[in-house]
Amino acid sequence: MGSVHAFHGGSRRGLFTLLTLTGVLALGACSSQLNATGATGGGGGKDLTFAVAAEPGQLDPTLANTFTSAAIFDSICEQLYAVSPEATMVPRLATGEPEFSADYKTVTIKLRQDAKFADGTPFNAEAVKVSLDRHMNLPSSQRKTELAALDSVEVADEHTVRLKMKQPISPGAFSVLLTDRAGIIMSPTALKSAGDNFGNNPVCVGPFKYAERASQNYVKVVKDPNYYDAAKVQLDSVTYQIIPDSTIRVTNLRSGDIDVIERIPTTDIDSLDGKNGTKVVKTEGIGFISLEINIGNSDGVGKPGKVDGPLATDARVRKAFELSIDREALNKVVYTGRYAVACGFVAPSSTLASEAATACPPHDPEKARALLKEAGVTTPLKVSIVLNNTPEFGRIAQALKSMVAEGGFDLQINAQESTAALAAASAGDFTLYINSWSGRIDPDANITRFAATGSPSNFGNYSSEKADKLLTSARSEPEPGKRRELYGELSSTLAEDVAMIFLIRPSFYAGMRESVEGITAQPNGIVDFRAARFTR
Amino acid sequence: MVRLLARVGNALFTLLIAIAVVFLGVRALPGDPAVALLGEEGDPTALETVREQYGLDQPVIVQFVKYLQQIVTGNLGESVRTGLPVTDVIAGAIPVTLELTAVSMLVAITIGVTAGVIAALHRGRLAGWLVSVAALIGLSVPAFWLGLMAILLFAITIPILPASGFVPIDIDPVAHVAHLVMPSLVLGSAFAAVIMRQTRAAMLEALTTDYVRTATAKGLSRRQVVVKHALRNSLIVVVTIVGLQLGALIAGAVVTEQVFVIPGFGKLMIDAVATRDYPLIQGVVLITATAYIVINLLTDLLYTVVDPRVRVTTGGAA
Repeated sequence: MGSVHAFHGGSRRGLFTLLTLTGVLALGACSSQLNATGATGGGGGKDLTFAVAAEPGQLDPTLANTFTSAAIFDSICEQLYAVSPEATMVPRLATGEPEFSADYKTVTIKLRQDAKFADGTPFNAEAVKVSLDRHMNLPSSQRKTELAALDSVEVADEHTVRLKMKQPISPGAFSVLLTDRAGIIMSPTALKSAGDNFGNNPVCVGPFKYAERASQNYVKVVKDPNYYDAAKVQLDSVTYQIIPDSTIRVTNLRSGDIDVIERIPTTDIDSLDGKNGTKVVKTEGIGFISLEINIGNSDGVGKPGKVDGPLATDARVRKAFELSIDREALNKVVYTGRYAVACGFVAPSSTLASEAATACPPHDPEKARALLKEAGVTTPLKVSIVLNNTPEFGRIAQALKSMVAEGGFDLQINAQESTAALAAASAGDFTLYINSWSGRIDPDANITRFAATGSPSNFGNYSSEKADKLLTSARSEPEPGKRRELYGELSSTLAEDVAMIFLIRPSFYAGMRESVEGITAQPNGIVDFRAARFTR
Repeated sequence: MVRLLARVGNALFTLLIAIAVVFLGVRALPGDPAVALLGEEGDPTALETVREQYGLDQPVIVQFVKYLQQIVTGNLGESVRTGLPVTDVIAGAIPVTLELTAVSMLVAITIGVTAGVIAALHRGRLAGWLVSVAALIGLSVPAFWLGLMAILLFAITIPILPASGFVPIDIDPVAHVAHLVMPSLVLGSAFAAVIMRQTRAAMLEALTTDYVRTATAKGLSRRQVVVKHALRNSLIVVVTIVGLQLGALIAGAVVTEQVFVIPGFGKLMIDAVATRDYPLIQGVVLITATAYIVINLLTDLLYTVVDPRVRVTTGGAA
């Protein structure tokens, strides 16, 4: 009669179950009322499903701070200028190249006359001023640093704006300003009516307009008939489906439930390219993965101080560490050789690349040991490395550990949760820190924030008068040839000081069904759906 | 009445402790929450504004009191990632998980009880052995792996089911069901195995009892003996097991929702933690704690209704 005993012993739990199941069924029945729309469902028609790796966060161009939000804005919120797949600046809401005054302190931009916002509001110079002022002045704006060089915006006429810069700016450095989210123009009507809630229903100019979102699930955009080039847009809608796990993104692409996926891990490319009706598109990146070295961060970033230890005090020791690294092997081991090695902040594809800026130190563990001996360091020298605990960075750290052992270093790996790792880097609680940067089209935006004295992302508090002068001169130098030379000189200075060690230049691989055509991608991996279509 | 008030007071105190633990817990994590809120490549100059905006510049106790005031008014704040009200986000996710859990439980009961009866009736024979092996596999295989294998098989190799996602029933009822088939089978499989083993054990015991022998001696058919007498008594065990396993089933939904990209409560919880969305984490934990406390309270109270002995005993004591 054990079962009867069990009934007595478990009747309380049984009742618990009964109550819970009743609730379950009652609530389950109303799930449809609470979830507005379907999520996945790619595979044809004119509705495309695109799997993105992360939640976009706020969809307010002034407040947005995620990569996914930038990807969505590319469909619904155009900037004055955009980045072409070849990493050059191309006009979007502007009609041509910006015109610079003789002193390079005033920039005049002519605007499109055929553009309208998704709510029907006409696009004009006043709208540009309202948006740029909001980007610059809203207290919680994430665009302030991007627009730090901009002093004020003037309306010259209905379709012309004049930007007053604080300092002379080179056309190259200017190209970064308005090609990212700081260049997005929002509907003044919507801004007025929605105020701080603009991100709940963003209204801009774009091939698509915002339709709906389900938090942590998807964002759907639909074709905007008000778009100036609407005739060329062939898709009816794009659903940005959030799938954080890369394995699941890949599986869904293979099954056809998703039409396009971003950020394919390099290890999955072979299983996709040409198999199960899928194909892969590669974009050369302009960002980098680097090692920040704590040279002077003893009391927080931005406050250069004194740090002890041979790596902080002796450039020969830092050089020895760099010479111990085999970048090609690192790329092969961690990324199956599908990324490129990075030896500096200037991408080889940049028009400002030079021999000096792209020079790569050789892998020479023997010389590394000799340098350590010369510096009077007892080997193996213990060095710790702080990193975000992603599998990718974990593999980089493991590979580095094995490489630098040959050069006389004993690398201690300290993997932390992303915020904790960033906090350690900011507080100066690190010796080495693995950092990554998605890249911008002008070198200035790829190095000033990491190398200028006092810059908030200069985690190691590297400070060099020479480097600071070169950074300032290169930013304001209008002549491309001279800028190339200046960035070459800056690269040599940074290499001499071993201020940071560049490792890898990630490429971007997007996967898609074979039936999807017309997709292009920017050098930072953002996928453009303007010309996308299904062939069947 | 006094007992009722005491029990309710106890529940409220437990809830307050739960809120305090999670509130302090998320703030005890290493790293500046404001830095986390700024995002991947956020503007460092906005750090102070972010601190101010979310009250992170105030002492923790002030933040806690303000949060309690918010809760009392039914406001759980806004998600710092999306700016959407936390209550709306949670209200959208809970029914999805509950539906998935309920369907999975039904699947588990159906498969588990049937398999348990077969295993008991065919004890020592091939059929019984096969069912036991299947149960062992069901128990041993992790849901994450099983889910991916199911997708590979039923969405890629034999494409008869969608790989992932969730379609509400009012948008497309057929797609709604199709999207639930694989997740509920995967989620239900491990529980089906548990139920099968318990049913088998209970059935084996029941089949040797006097009343079953009497029923057989009275000339009842084998089917009647098994279904109406042995199984009916064995189901008491099943009910108990279902109750004990329900919490585990809801917890298991966390993994299943990740694999099948189902926008339920489990996925919401994981995503909130991953993105350090503090108001959402607090909201999710608050709702979970409240659900457990309320259901336990109701169970306790109803228990006294169902079992008069408890009422007499505790009433006497009170």
